[in-house]
Amino acid sequence: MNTLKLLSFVSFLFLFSCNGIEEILPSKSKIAAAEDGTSFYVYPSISNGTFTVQASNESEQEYQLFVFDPQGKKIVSQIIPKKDNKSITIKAEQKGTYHATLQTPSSTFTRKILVI
Amino acid sequence: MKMKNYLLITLFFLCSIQIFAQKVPQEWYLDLNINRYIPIEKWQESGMGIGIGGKMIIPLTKKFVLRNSADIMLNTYSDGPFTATDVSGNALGNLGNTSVDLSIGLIPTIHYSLHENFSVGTGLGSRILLKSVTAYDGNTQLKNTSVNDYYKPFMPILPIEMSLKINKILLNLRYEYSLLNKIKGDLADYKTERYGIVSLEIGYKIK
Repeated sequence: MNTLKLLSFVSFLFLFSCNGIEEILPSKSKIAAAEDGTSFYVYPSISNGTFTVQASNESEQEYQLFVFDPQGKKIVSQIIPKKDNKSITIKAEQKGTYHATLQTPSSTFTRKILVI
Repeated sequence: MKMKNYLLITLFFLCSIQIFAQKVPQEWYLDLNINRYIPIEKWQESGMGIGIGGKMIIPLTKKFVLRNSADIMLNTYSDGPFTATDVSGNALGNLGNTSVDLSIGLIPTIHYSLHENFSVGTGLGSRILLKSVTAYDGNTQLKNTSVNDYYKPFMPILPIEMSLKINKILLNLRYEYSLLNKIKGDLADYKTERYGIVSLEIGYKIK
């Protein structure tokens, strides 16, 4: 029984002694979601109401581009044909965090946009 | 199961406990807790938080007790890297950030006594998110915070607990696991966030 108590308190100590929130270092590279030359940008990522989502598809397969409002509701859904690109400018109707998602056959990339 | 149904079942369960509890001796505790919010698969982004709560303990048999815990918690964590870009799409760097969730937990569990003062337990509970905000470092434009409305307000949780009683003090270690994706709406089909919360409660017997 004493061993069990000891193990319990050791686990307490371990769980509460780990490092805190990870510090995020400044980015050194552009924010492209590279996959066979694919790029995916949102700008400006901190906006007063208008922002642009841009993606290029250099592959031989279709991609899908989505934008979600601050409640997580899909407000844009577009297909990017192979060897094509899209640029969509959104006029945000509400403040909050928007998400832009590029879905390729193998991966999903998500970017945040803050509308203030 | 739909959220509404789950909420109704939980409320029914809690009311049943209350009615049942009127007929048997109970113990009441006031709790303080420290907690660690751990995003699943991104545990490096976890953070510490605090909370307060209470506990009602109802003996069922010699070995089993029913516990009804309630708490209000502040949890902190990082929301992942956020890359600031200018109007031309040039990256300006990553902003560090800290997210804070304020939530209420309603957690009924059944405990089994392994020893006179030591027990383990589990059950099915709920965590109700009242507010979630993210504070970004060094961005005065943002007034440093944004509200995260894309999280579900109601989350069913699976708690696992172990407790040690020392006189009037009750130490309780709980791990609770979110049973659903935290993201709500259409976005949930493309982005998943699940979490666990480890909390250490220090309770004082008041009745």
